[in-house]
Amino acid sequence: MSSSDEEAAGEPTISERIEEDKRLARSLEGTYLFDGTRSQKNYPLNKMCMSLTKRDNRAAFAADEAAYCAQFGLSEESKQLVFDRDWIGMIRSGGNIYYVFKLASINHTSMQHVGAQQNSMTLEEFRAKLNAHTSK
Amino acid sequence: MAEIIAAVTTSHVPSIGIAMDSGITQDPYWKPLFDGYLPAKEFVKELKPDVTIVIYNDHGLEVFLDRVPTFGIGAAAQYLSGDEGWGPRPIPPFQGDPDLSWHLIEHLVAQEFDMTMFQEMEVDHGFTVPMSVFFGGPAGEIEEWPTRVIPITVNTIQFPLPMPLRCFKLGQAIRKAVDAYPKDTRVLIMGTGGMSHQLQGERSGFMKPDFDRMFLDKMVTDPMALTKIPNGVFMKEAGHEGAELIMWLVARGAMNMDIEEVYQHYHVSASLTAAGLACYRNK
Repeated sequence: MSSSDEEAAGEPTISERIEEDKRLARSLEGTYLFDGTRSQKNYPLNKMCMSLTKRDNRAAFAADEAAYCAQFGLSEESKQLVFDRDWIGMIRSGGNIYYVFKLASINHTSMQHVGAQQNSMTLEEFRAKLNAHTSK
Repeated sequence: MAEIIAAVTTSHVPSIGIAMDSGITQDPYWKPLFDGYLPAKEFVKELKPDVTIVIYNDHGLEVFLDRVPTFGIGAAAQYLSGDEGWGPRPIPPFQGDPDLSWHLIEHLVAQEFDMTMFQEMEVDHGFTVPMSVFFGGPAGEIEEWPTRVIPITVNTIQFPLPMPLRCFKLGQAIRKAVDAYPKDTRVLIMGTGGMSHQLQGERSGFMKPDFDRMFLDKMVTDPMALTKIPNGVFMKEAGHEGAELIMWLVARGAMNMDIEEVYQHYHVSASLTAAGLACYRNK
């Protein structure tokens, strides 16, 4: 079907479909659509976190977090987010949860702890939020 | 001739793997989930698949943001559990089936699915946890995997994700490829990921059982309706990470249009994830 046929049939164009998908995803409160725009925002942070899949790198990170982060070109702001283990700050700055979680794992911080901090909740409060779904 | 004998689907959650590996599956928190897995283990045991094709997404083990294949396939003789940041899972190596892998590659590319090919590949929890859930003992214990495996990866990390209909069609193409494989081979297809969950942002902790139950119903009765759900809507209804459900549609596409659900288990929650599991046979 040519694009003029699509228009004639009243179907959304490809551009419109993409925009609608993104508009919806971006309208979700507390959600950071990890698309190309966001993937470019803090590539060094994600790359540093990805490197923590190697045991030797984890040791090097633990030995000197600042020096390790500098190797990957993290901004001063991003370094501080790492030192503070500020999960929501990292996500807002362009961190992807799957890479950021590798940093959490270094300190045996569970996804529930990460979720609680992102929600500004205590662990107990966050677990209550999770459990609230059980009855639905 | 080769044949797809069944499809199974399940959520994949790191903490389910940790629960198995640390022997706490009978703790009160985990027991209802693991008890719910028992009939599914019986189902795959009786099936005796020669090969299991596992549809999953890599979560930052083999794939970083420097290069993100939308669809990938393993062609290795062996796959090891990799270190995602908390050490590899203590499980046996998986044996591959390079001959079938290359057959799939040839036939998928010929059907215009341009797969990224991996001859060396480690597998993460997205792959290993479902394998333990279905093939492990009651507590996930395993000495040797009773099936060869072929990993197929789908990008669900960096948007744009492949469209749900494309995932379904990949399943259809896998089915055609398997049907054309000359060696007698019993193939199980396993779709993993989901169900509703969100890990990132202030919306983390989001789950939506109503959506998940609708999805489970339509997997059997109207999969084409699921293929028409835009990924933005998957994110709204199932969460930013719950969009992984598109991988269930790959497994669904490899089955007949008419299928029978042999077993279903739905449990809220495993950590932050609504954990769903189902077993399907062709009618």
